[in-house]
Amino acid sequence: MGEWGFLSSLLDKVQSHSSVIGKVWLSVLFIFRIMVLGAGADKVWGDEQSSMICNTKQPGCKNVCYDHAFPISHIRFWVLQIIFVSTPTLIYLGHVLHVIHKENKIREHMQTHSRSEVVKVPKYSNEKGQVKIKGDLLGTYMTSIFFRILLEVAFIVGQYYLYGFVMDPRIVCSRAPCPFTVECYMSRPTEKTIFIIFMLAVSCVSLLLNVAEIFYLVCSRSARRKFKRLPSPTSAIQPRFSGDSLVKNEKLSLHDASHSTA
Amino acid sequence: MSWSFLTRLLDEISNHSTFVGKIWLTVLIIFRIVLTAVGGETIYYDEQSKFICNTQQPGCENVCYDAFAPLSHVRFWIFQVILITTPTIMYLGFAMHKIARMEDGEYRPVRNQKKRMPIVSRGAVRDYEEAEDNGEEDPMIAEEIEQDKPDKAEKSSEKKHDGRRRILRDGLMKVYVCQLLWRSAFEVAFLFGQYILYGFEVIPSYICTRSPCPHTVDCFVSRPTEKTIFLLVMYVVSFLCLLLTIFEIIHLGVGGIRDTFRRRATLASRAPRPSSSRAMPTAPPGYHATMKKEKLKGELRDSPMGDSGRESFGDEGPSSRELERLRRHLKLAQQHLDLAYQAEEGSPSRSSSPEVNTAAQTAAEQNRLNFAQEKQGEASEKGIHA
Repeated sequence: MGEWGFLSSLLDKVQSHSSVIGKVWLSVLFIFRIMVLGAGADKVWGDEQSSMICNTKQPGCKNVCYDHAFPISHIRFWVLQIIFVSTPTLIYLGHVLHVIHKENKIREHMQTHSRSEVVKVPKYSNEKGQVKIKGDLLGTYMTSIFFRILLEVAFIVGQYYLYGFVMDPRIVCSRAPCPFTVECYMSRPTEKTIFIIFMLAVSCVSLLLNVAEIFYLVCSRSARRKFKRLPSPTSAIQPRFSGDSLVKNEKLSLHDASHSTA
Repeated sequence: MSWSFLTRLLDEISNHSTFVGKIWLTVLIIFRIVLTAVGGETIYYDEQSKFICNTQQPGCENVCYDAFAPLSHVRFWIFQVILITTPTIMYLGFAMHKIARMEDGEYRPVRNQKKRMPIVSRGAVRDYEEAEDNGEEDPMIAEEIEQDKPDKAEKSSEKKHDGRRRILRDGLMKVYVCQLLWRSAFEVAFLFGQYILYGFEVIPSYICTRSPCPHTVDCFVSRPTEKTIFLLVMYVVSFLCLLLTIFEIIHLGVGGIRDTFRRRATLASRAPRPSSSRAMPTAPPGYHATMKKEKLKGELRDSPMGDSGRESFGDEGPSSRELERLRRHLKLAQQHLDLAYQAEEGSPSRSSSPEVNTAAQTAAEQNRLNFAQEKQGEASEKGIHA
């Protein structure tokens, strides 16, 4: 289960383009889910079929009883959960990279052409390469968080309906070719219960983080709108927020440089 | 085992810790992570397959093993390592966020300053002997500043924010101590939990009465002595990590107290010399460099005289000898001053290139005069004390 490198590298890229809560969510995902899955859960579920014992000698009975009890192993279920929950974030990453690519092209266009020909101005990024999450980008970001929430809830409910939250050591099985009713005993039920509860707790924490992030974005957006409605003296103090004043600042600093070298 | 992610993070953390914190990290990585990964694999791989009960009842071994080990040692240690490094990782995230914000805020004014007065800052930093080259380098300065920006951005991300003083300066001390406290709380909790769950020994045979086992059944654990030794080693390592964390807290506390005492001492010593404290901050650094050079030259020239002066110290004669010594000190100081005056008269011709700001020049002269006055004051004080 060590093949998380590609997903990890992609999610690393998203980290610099997320809000604070988004970064915390990503860290929780990495440390508590992917790492625990790779480092611990593998060993616990490794022998789940070979160590399951049924009190019958009927050939094939053990196989069908195992299949009946565990349609999908927990490990595979959690892997699917991690992949599906990361997918909206990866779509958002795609959008961010697209935006950065477009803005770099606009910047190159600005450098090669005179001021009068420039029609489009970079809207999201500044010269340092930082991207502000606003406008379309904010819409994509919030949609990704919304889908993340939906998927998390779906997986938690699915886990409950498949297995419940506690593993019983004894499985009662009456599927053909088993003779009437057969008792099967699974391996390490308590340890599996501990892991299930741990992963469930982490899923709930992730869900809460996503909900908190949505509230945080909505509140900061409304605060920014109120700020913009204030009279002009306050907006002049912070020229960063609009693209035009960025261009003006560049002009001023260029003048300063020319004066000092004269 | 996918420990590489955690070890990469811990590498990053070492750039934001104090010295004791780095020791803690090393102990953690070497003793805990490596031991758990390596020892856990080899010792515990057959813990269930070799758990044998003296019954043929199907399913009895499974339930008895489950009763014997609700949570295996290895998984317990994995949880322990993850939860104990969590406060530190959260501190790392917080510190990087705050540092990124800090450097963002400092970035713009520094850039403007550089663009307005590039030559002055360069000239002051360099030695006056190299000031002749300033004229040729002017066209390059603006371009170099442009190139500096991405370098600076890269350097700031690689820059270390470690050591107690740096953490204090960055305003992260409270959060740092908070994460240390959480870490020690987790360590204590896990040590206690380990004692409750496993005790200090792994018993070789386990008595099981769980259904479907018939009445009472004897089960036998695989490698009990090896597991006991490993368990005890992990106890000691956890305890050592706890001690290191507590020592770090004490070290920060003691360091803070020492700093406040030092600050008070320097404030007290600075009070009788207000003129020097006013003069010093305005002197460009290059000035002090030249002063030091001249001082050294002066000392080298006067060393024979100084030596002969010192020879007279050897024999403990009457107090007149001490007076002699003090007079010679005064002479030395005055010679140094004369040399300094001569050097300053020579240097204005070198630094008269048009690019040097005249304001900086007059400031340098003012500082030289203040420095000379201070030296005279020192010498006269020595004379008074004699």
